[in-house]
Amino acid sequence: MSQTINLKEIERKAFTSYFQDGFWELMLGLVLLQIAGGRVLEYFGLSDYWGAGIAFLGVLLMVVGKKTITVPRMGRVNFGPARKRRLMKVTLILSISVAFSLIGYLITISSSNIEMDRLTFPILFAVNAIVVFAIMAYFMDFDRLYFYGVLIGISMLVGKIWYISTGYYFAMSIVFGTSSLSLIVIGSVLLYRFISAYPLPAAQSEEMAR
Amino acid sequence: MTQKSPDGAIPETGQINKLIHEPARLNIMACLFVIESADFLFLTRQTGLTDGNLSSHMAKLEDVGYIQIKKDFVGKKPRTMLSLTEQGRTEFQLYRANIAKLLGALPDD
Repeated sequence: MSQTINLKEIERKAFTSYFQDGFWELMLGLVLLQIAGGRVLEYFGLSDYWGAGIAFLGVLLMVVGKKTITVPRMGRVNFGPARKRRLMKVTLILSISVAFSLIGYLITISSSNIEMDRLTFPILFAVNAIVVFAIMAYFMDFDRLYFYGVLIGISMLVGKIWYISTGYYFAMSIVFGTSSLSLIVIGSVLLYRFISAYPLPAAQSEEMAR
Repeated sequence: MTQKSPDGAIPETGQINKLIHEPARLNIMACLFVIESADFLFLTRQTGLTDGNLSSHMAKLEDVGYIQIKKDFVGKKPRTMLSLTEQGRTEFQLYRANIAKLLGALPDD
C-alpha cells in the first residue's frame, strides 16, 4: 500500500502482469523449433507438416495456457480504449509483417541471382523480425520482446552465414535449436515462478465479491 | 462528497474526498480508473488486498455509487465484474485535481 500512485504505471503493470506466465516464450520457442527442425525433418524424409504441427502446438499452448492457467490465477480484465487501440496497432503491424515476409520470400524465390537469393531472404527475415518485435514490444509494453526480436534476427543471419561459409547441413538447425531451447527454458522458468507466485484462489474468493 | 473548488483556487483539506483518500480505496479507484472493468480476483492481485478487505471497501464504494458490480456467468462459473461509474470517474478526477492543487501549493522546503 505504500507505492506511489502513477496511473500510467498502474495501467502498464496491470497489462504486463499477463506476460509473467512465460507462455509467449514457450510459443516463440516452439515456433523457432519448427525452423530448427526443417533440415532435420528433411534429412529423415519427413513432411514439413510435422514442423508446422510443432508451431501450431506453440500457438495452441499459449491460447489454452492463458485460458486454463493464467486467467484463473490472475483474474479477468477489460482494458480501456487507449490500450485497445495499441493492441489494434500490434495486430496491424503483425499483418503487415506477414505480408512483408511473404512478398520478400516470393521476390527471393523468383530471383535469378542465386548468390543474392542465399542472403537476401535471411537479411529481410532478420530485419523484419527485429523491427516487428521492437514495435510490438513498444506498443505492448513488453520489454522482453526487444531481446527476442534480436535473438531471432541474429539466429537467422548466423545460421545462414555458417551454412553458406561451411556448407554444414545442420547449421540452421543448431543455431535455431539453441535459440528455441533458450526460449523454452526461459518460458518454463517463468511459468514455474508464475504458478508459485499466483496459486489458484480459494473457492470463497468469488463469494466474497458479495 | 466533495465540493468543487473554483478553477485555480487551492482546495481546503476538508474538500478532499475522504472516501477516496483512504489508501486501500485509493488503490482500488486508481486501478479501476485505468481500465474498463475487472473481476474480483484481478483486483486482489493488483491491489494486494485480502478478499475480505477488498470486499468491504468495494461495498463502501458501491454504496456511494462510485463503482458498479455486475454478476454474470462464464460457462457455469459465476463472475463478478467491477467498474467505475461515471460518478466514480468524475469524483476520482476531481480528487486528483484537488490533491495536485493542494500539494502543489506547498513550498519546496
